[in-house]
Amino acid sequence: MREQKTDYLIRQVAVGNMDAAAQLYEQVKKGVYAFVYPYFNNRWDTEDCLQSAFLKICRNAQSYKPHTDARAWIFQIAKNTALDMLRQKNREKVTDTLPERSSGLQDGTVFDAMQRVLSEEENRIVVLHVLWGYKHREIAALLNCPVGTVTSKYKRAAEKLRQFLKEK
Amino acid sequence: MNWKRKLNRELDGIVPPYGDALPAPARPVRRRFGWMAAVAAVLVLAVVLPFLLPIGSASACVAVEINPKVVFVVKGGKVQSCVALNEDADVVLSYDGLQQKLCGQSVEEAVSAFADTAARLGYVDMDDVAAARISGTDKNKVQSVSQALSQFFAQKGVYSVAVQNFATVSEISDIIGQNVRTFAAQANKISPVYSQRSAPKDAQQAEEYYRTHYLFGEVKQTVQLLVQCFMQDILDFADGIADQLMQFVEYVSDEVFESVAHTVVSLLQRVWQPAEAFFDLLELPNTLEQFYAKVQEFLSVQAQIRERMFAQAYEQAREALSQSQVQSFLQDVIAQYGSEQAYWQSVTQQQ
Repeated sequence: MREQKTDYLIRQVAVGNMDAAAQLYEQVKKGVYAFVYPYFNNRWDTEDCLQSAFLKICRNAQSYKPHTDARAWIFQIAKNTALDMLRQKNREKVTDTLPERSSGLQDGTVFDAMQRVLSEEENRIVVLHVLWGYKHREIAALLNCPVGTVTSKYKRAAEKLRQFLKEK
Repeated sequence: MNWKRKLNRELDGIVPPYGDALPAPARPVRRRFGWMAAVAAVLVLAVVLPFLLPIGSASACVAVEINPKVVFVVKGGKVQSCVALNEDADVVLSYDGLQQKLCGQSVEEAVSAFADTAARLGYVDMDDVAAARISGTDKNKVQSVSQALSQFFAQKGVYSVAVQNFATVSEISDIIGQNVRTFAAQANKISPVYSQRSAPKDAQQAEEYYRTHYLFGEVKQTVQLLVQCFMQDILDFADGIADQLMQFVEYVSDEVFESVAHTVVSLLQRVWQPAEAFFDLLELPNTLEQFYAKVQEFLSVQAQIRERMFAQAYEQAREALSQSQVQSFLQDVIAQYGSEQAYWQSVTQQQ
């Protein structure tokens, strides 16, 4: 996810440029999707969350402060949207007895492997590093933990994924 | 394919595209080019053309002020020599003998060829906007070079802004970094390689400079990058060292690098034959001649690596831009920034 381009695109969305909105969506969709998926563990709710988060990004683009950390801004909106949806779902659970959906993911894919074999923190670190382009020290600051922890968890996660995919 | 690339590809298939995922926007909008993510532009190219300078034997200087930065010395309308003004230009000019090939061409042809190689080696983001500044005292020549560059990028399907700057001799000297007349007079005698010109002239100091700047600097970083690029291939025949390779890619001290570099280069050589050049690059030079030879070799290897890394982006098919598309885009640039010069300021400040 290119930081400068993301910043520019948000500023363009703020002035009503819908071409930029389309480009911004393409730029951030994978990172947001992979980040919020573990909250729901199924594709349908994740897609709903992605849609809601992106609409919020567009609606609030004018409140984005130019030339600050665009990825962090989007990250926060995605996280809040996922949490809001979860709270809503938890309220609904008391009265709603629909069966749980299956994940909708294909077996043997890397993304499926991430959900199966990685811990929540390992999953998050992989998503932030590989899809959001954050360096380990930046992830450490985001997650408020030591850089060494991020590096070693990332290494462990990568090894787990390789092992799992090899066995498949 | 490594797991990171696989993950990206999988998500391309899983995550719905824009049209499917989102409803049509409610707000009416003024349509503008999506290409104006100009702030992230990478190639910033300024061609300095003091063509009417009466410099000794009627040579003139064409300084290409970019990252990469290069100066062309022009005589009789043809490029006499080209001299790098920074290390990235060294890499570009070392690619496939470009430095020699540009000599004898018109400056329009030479600037286009230089920009093309810079794009091939990843110094131009082909999916973004290329910014160029052409500076000179001859207005007609500035315009013709600017047009040639714009046409080159348009044919490649890349939007560009070629800013025309009618400069004074003193401004041009500032861009080159020294008096332009003196520079033009001595251009045949000075090394065209910036990395060599900026290095110490004493063999002992050159060895120390090579140790700190190259061996534990550029060479180390390049080897780390190569390991990262070829990680999966290496792991295919060297099980059980994934952790160590990952550690090597993320961070390696100079001491550790010195002790493992030969082993790592041996592994790299198994998967990428040009890595063999690094065996020589790991040795310190004993003489100035060896220093210059090693620097030249490193620049060549860098060019090969960059060509490989950016081949897909460079070779991706892009439709040539029409004149009306280019004009419309430039009007948008002026509408947003006020002038092409203001756009140039914005892009160079970002870098």
